[in-house]
Amino acid sequence: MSDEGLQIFADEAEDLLSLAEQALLNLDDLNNITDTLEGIDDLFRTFHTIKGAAGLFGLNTIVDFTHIVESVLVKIREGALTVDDEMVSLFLSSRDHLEKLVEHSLQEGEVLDPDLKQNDESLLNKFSVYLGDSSGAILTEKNKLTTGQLELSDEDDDGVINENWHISLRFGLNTLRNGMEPASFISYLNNIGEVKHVTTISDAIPVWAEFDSESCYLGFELELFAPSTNKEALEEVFEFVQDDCKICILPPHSHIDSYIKLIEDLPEEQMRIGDILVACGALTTHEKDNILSTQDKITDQVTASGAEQKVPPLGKIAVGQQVVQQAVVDAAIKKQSVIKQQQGNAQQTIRVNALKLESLVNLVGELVIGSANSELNARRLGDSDLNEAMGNLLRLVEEVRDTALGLRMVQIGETFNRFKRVVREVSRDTGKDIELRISGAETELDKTLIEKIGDPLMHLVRNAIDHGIESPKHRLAAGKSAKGVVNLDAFHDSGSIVIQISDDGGGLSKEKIITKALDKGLIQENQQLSDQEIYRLIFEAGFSTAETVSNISGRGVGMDVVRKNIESLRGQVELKSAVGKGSTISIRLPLTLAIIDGFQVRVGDAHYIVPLDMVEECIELNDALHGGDERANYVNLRGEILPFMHLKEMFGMHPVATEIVQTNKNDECRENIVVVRFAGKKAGFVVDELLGENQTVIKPLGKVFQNLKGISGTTILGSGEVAMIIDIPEMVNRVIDSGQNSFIPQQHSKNLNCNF
Amino acid sequence: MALRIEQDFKSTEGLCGFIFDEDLTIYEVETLKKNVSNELDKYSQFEIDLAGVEEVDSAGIQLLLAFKAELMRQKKEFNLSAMSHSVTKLVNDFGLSGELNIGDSL
Repeated sequence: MSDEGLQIFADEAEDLLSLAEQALLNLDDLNNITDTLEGIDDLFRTFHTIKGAAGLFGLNTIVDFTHIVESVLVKIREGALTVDDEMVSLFLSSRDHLEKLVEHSLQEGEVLDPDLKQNDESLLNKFSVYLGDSSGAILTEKNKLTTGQLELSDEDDDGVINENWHISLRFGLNTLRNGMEPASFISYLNNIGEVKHVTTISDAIPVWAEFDSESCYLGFELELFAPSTNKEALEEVFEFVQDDCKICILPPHSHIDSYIKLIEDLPEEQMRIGDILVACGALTTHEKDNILSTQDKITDQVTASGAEQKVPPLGKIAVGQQVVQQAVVDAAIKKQSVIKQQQGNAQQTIRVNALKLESLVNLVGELVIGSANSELNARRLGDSDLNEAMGNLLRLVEEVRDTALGLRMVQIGETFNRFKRVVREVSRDTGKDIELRISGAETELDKTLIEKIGDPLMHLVRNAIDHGIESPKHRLAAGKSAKGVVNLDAFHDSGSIVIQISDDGGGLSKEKIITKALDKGLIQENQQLSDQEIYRLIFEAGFSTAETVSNISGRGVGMDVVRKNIESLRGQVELKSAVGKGSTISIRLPLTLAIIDGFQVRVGDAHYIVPLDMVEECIELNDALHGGDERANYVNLRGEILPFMHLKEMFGMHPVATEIVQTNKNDECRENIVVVRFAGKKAGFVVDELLGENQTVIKPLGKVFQNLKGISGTTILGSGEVAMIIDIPEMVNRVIDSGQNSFIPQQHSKNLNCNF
Repeated sequence: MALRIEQDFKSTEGLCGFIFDEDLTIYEVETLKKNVSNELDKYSQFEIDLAGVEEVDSAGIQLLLAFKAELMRQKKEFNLSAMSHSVTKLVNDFGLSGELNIGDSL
């Protein structure tokens, strides 16, 4: 089988398995029968689809394994078995096992390594207990699966008039459940030749009450005009249903005996079959009458000759077992993707090479710069038509930009859902009752970021469960409900993404942290620390507050690694806690966009860009604001202290003090403060001129400038000039630090609300 | 769900309308059968509207056949009022245009 097909199978199996996992984890309340059965249905569907697909690729290990799991699920659906916790765990481990099998099938093909094989067998044995038999039962079932019923009829010179192939199909009850679709066989036959006539035999459909809508009762009589094909080719079409279906293929001009045998073999009443065959055009009325009237006489002979004619079903098929017609596979893969769509969860997706996306984003960046240049020129020309056209174009460019950048974004919900399982397992291990609440699952993040944040998040969630949430006994004693809650939340906040993990557990004891930190020599006695600084100690290397080290967390490799991981993504991590009430850890990650909405300002002769998301407001710097003190580095902004900084001073352009005096006198060039906000802190930058919005294509700084503080990148303006992008997080901290170090008059700090 | 059930359909007293839309496939048939079964004993006339069906497969067709056969057995009225393109195509592929056809009634 082509690697590509197998890869698609594996990708889809992966999606299906994650669906299966979700279905299993939703089975939290086993007493709710409706929900449970619904979950079991979902589970059945996913396992079933995997089985169907694996069958197409001849992955027998997977087919056999899923078949047994399915059998157990069927018993549950029928009500013969009830689901218990243990069973859910067993399904979970079989899901994992299946994942490994799929992975394995990609790499090495069919032969299992010993570990996997042992796992396979032990799981199958566990399932066999539920099936109520010893493993012998499973073996017979397996045998049943592989014994076919394919019947062949030999060509004969002395045949009927019919120039078409006649194909009789009676699909097995499980055909639909096995993921096969009779209609796709018929449409595939149309690729080989031309299906002249189809008669659907619905006689086998039982009365409504006994009708099982997922079983297949259908049969077909087909006339296929395909002079250039041969029997092998036709048999191959049905290779995957031959095991439980009755298939009979009669070549054109077959001997009349073959038809007699056919009529006898088919389950329907003989007269009716005769009529159907006539209706199909397989037999003429004369031939039919002949057959039916002489039938009694020759019955014995036919049975005898029929037995002789029986050819070993598989021996004659020249083509190897595992090989499938590409078209059948294609049809099946197509069907699979349809199924995926129906499952409602995954939107239709296509897989694209990441390099292509990257080059698209680069091109869009160039497009943005190019259009900014055009706009500038259009504005200079002052042609109103041109300007209008330019306006339209810019709007489209902006849309193209947003769409292109959105391509790499994935919702974080899937990552969050993975933790449900962790919570379930860990709470079982620790004997705690814990609920995981997820919000903001639709928040979008860059795919690479999501991949990298998974492990640190996992650690934090485990930590929250293990250290955060107390045992039910302690909780009840503390007057809380026995059930602990861990919240996972994600949201956008001024140009960054915040992921919060909070628990309603015991919280962190500051005293404990301090004692421990003293112990480890991280701080010195009598050192004055703010709450934030104390909590930050948690993230120091080798720090663990848990008194007992469990197998879940608390082994010392922990929070410091988490912090390093997050910082390597240019993120920040922060902890808040209240004793007895719980803790909240916030991870703040930058939106890694290649193109942003920027706010362009001028300082001296140079242009700078402030990410627009972080700009709160712009105010004019006048005497009223800084109380007449021109050297002040803070203003009273509606009753709040707003520390600010002259960008000119920071970038070392001119001596500031004299400049202010000059510019203040000059009305044409008033100074403005751009107020920015990051992580809840506000600061202002004094600039010479506000130039307005600008689509900013971020170009990274070259190696030489990589350690430059305060600048996060550059961009090219429409005019071709280079503008620096201000690193707001860094600058905000710098402004606040310098504010803290300098003298703040007493009366001011009394009267003002400090909000940072 | 992909089935809307209307009592006194088209202001005809005692007529039960089954309006199928979205998909009529192996994934829906079990639920659909249950829903249909609930109404089966209450009415003696049924009108089926398949105009909104987007995807249909053998299981869906089989469900229709079984339903029709049951009504025939119970001597009740079955009327197929509309079929979407996908249903028509599959019905034709299966050579069932005689069995399941618009205006077809018992």
